[in-house]
Amino acid sequence: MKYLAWIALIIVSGLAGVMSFQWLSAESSPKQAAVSNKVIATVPVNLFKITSSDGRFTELNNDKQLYIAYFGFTHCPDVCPTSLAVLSAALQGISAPQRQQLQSLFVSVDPKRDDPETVSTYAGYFHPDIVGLSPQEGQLLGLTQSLGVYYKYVDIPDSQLEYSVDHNSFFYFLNAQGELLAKVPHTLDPEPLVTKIQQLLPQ
Amino acid sequence: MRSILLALSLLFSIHLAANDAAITVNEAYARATPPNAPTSAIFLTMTNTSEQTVSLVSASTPAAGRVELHTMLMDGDVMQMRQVEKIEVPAGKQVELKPGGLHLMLFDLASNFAEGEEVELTLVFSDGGQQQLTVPVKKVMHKMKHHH
Repeated sequence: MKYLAWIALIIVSGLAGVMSFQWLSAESSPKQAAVSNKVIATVPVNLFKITSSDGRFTELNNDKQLYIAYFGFTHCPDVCPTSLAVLSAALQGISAPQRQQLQSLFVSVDPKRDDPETVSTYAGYFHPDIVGLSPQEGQLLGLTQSLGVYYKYVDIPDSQLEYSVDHNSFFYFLNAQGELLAKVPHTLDPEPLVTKIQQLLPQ
Repeated sequence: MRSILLALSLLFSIHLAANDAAITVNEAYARATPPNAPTSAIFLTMTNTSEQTVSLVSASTPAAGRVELHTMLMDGDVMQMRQVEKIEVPAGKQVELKPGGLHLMLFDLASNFAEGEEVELTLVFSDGGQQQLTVPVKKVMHKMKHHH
């Protein structure tokens, strides 16, 4: 009988120990869990070897912890400037150390009209931290396919635009290894971007 | 003679006022643009206070070579910009031209649009009414809250 009591005590305290351990680790791990976010896709880093006209970007680099890539075009009537304005607002909503670890990229899906310099000026206007890139067609195709970016050229015969580029609107969050950690859908509010940055770059 | 002219001009101004009353335009602004940007957009809200549908059929501004009426459609995740012939404002209803939806698209900008500037805008409606507006240039995020 005595032994049974001891056994019960051991079992109970063991359980308590396990539970408190779980409780403690649950308490301390949310940031850890966020950092080791699951990888959605991996982009071959070679596809990101694109030199911006200002030379600020040449490839994914370990100097930066996080990259945000947005795909669009400078003739974009509405969605791209809005998204870049939202991204700019998000960059104003994070700390300076976070900004230093982060590189934002605006990648043109319209290489015919967007030379590297045009894209660079365009992106930089919204926020000096945003670098504009205009990859060549083959590279663009590889990049967009591996990230799942949709774009399609559509003739608009009566418009001065001549053709538009239908495209989806996501912010792709990548690390320097080309691992896609998250994508945030089109938003008119910088908050979802700020939240995601805070999650992936805890200061 | 003078009184006839006066009467005529009075009649004319009443006619204009009647047209102005059909659609009220509020919160118009033009989007500030990066240097050398190929396009800009104008957003505004139209309220139809009359008892019949009135459409915006065209727009022009000396600040741009051409103005088109555009809409943005969503097909799943995909944004599709399309030109439209007119923007209908049903009787008693309000139609908002805003980012991610309807907008006036400006081509051949005379110069880039800097915040704080103003743009003259003429709107032409299906009932023959016209409106002249002076539209401020603003950044798109001007309405949105800031995070610090």
